[in-house]
Formats: sequence, structure tokens, C-alpha cells
Amino acid sequence: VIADEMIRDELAAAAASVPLLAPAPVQAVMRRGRRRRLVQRTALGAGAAALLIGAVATAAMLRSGGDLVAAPSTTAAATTTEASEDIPTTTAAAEETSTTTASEEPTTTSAQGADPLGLGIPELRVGPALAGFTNPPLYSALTGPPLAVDSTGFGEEYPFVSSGPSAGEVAALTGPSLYVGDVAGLGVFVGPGESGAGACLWVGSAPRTCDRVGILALDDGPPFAAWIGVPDGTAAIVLTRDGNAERWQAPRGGVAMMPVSDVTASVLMAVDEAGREIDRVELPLTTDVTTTTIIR
Amino acid sequence: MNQQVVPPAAQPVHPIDFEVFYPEAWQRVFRPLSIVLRDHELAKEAVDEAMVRTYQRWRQVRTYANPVGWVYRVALNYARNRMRSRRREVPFRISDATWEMETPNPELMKAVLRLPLPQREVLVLRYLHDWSEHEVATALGIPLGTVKSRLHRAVAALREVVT
Repeated sequence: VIADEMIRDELAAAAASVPLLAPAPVQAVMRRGRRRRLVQRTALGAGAAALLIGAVATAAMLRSGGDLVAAPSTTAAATTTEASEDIPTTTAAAEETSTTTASEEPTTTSAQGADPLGLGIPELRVGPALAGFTNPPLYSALTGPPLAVDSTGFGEEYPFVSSGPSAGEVAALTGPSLYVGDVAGLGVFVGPGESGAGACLWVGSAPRTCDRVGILALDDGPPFAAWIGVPDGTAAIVLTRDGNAERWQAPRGGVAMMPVSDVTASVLMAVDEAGREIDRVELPLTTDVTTTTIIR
Repeated sequence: MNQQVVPPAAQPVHPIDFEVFYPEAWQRVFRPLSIVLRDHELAKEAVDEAMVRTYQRWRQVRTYANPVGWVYRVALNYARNRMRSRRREVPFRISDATWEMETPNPELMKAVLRLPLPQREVLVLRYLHDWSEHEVATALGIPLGTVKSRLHRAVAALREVVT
């Protein structure tokens, strides 16, 4: 006859043989929680705004005697989708509230959190998942606000090219990643490092830098400066040398990467849509990086 | 030498600060979940995720009668979702994820691990956590009758192995 005590002893012994794994530092958990709260609030705000726009558009249609299936309603729906895909929200609320369900399975449908990459860089602007890329999942990059001033004074533009990710490059990635675009004919991604941890900038099929702001070298050609997670509201990153603007780039996905002719006397400036400086990083990266945090 | 497991119910947590709650609750959820899932890596990932969600709602969760039970449930839900997505990507191979368990009656333990997940999770919470059937029902978010019937079926299956 099987006794309760027998089962208890067996399970206690099994639990004692579970490998000892240390939990993540509590500060790291709290930091992640705070970031998610912030992102969720932003997403809720965006969702509410989209709903408001939809309601106003629908009311306007009704007042004018128009058809409810007409363009304004469709536009509102598209706005809502875009806003929610921009910053995915967690479905943990269902886990909290369904305390009396008789279902064998939980009602949650997705484990997707507010940080689909899990890299802990909230400044990354992550868009919807790209179809056809599931292993690892690949996300599209969102652009920042467009520059609303004349860019002539910023020098030549060095834009990302969006030719689509190459399967060969994606195969090298070690976890959920962001496809930024192409530079110098190579795909640029942000994803975990080779060990599956950290956050690195992958160019081609190799991680080139795992610093928040770093200098990286490709096989040939000039060195590149890369900035992972530019400040919110950045419309352009301007590269200056001895105080003179040389080139600029509109970040994609919150990432900027451009060639640097002189790494000893250059500055990367993040500017907003009105061309005002938000943040700056002086190269070489041997001194404090103003408000930017170095990841590694 | 493995660390001895303290029956969790014998030491209820009265959380004041998340920093105080976190380390003990993490271990109390991690070990049983490892057995339920038969995968300690997935269990760790799930508990880490559950703890972030707990912190997000800490002001509310700390008022619950059994905050550890809430963490356990969130972690279990997370792990279930991950297992589903894994199955979609590649066939889930249990043998890769298990560890060598040293128990007094290996045949009994094998039978525990062969139980369907819903029965195993009820059995582990009831006997390892030493929670009452009512506490198990609350933690898992299922009716008391379901807990009783799953427990009955689980013990019956184990009895067949032992006898």
C-alpha cells in the first residue's frame, strides 16, 4: 500500500537532487519589471489614443451619413494595430484573474512579453515579427520621428538599406533579434551574443560589437561607429569631426551605424526632429559616455 | 551534496519587501516546478519571468494569501506556453532536459514523472509543498473537485506501480 509519507519522501528526495541554480540578482529583476511597466503604460496610452481616433472618425462618419465600412474606420483600425504591434503587451493579466476556471489549460495564449528580444534595451524600436523567420524569431525595425529641418548642414546621408534579411545571416543568430537593415551589403541585426546572452550588434553573420556604443571593423573598408538604443525621440545621428558635420543617418529600430573616417576626433550627436541635440558620444570611447550606458 | 529541501508550507512567507520575498520564494517555486516540468532550465526561465511579473504587480500580489502560489501559477503558465511553442518548432525531447534524480524508490519516481502534467502538478504541490487541497486549487486556479479527482487518479496510478 502506498502511503502519503512515501510520496512525500520521494518528492523531497527528487527536489533535493534538482541542480542548484542561482536566481538572477533581485536588482536585475526589479529593473526589468520597471522597464516593462513603463513600456506597458506607453502602449496603453498609444492604444487609447488609437481608439479615440477611431471613435472620433466613426462619429464623424455617422454625422455625415457615411458608410461605417468606409475609409476612416479602416484607417483607425490600422492605426490601432500598428500601435499595438509597435510595443507588444504581456497577457499576464489573464493569469491573475482566472482563479476559478475549470479548464485544464490556462487561458493565456502568448508568452510574448513587452520586450520580445529580452535584451533589456527599452530604446530599441521593435516592430512586428517578420513572417517566415521563427528560428530564431526576427523582428522588424521601426523608424524614429522624421527630421523636420533641412539636413544640408548635417553632411551626406548614410542610410540603411532595407533589402530584407538573408537566411544565411539569420541562421547564425543565437536568439530573438531585430533586423535593422543593410549596411555595406551586409545585414545588421541586434540580438544576443554568441553565448546567447547580452546584446550585440551582428553584421553579416558575426557579432561585431556588444557595447552600447562601439567601434567595429568589417573585413575591409573604414571602421564603423555603432550606437545600439539611441535616445527616444532621436530623428538623426550626426557624425561630426572637429566640430564639422560629416554625415548623418536616420536610426532604424533605435540603432545607428555609419563609417567613421577619424575615430580619434569624432563625435556622434543624437538630434531630435527639430535638429536639437539630445545626447552625444565622443570617440574614441575611452572617456565617460555622457548619458549613455555601456553594456559591456 | 544536495541541499535539503525544507517543506515550504512550514515556513510561510509574510512579504514586506520584494527584496525579502524574492530569494526564498524563487527557490520555493523553482524546485517543485523543476520536477513538474522535468526540465530545470525551463523552470529557471519560467520562475525568472514570473518574478519580473510579480514585481510589476507587487503592491497587489503582496496582499494575496499565498503570493508564492501566485508566482508558481504564473511560472507554470509561462512554461506551458513555452513548451507549446517548442513543440511547434522542434519535437520536445525530454531526455535532453532531465537530470539524474537520486530517490529512495526510483520506480516510484519514474511513475511520478510519467503522470500527465495536470496530475503531476497537483501531486507535487500537495505532497512537496504540503499545501492543502484548497490551497492547491487556489494556486492552480482550478476547482477543488478537480484537485481531488486529479490527486485521486495520480495516487491510484502510483499505487499500481508500488503494488
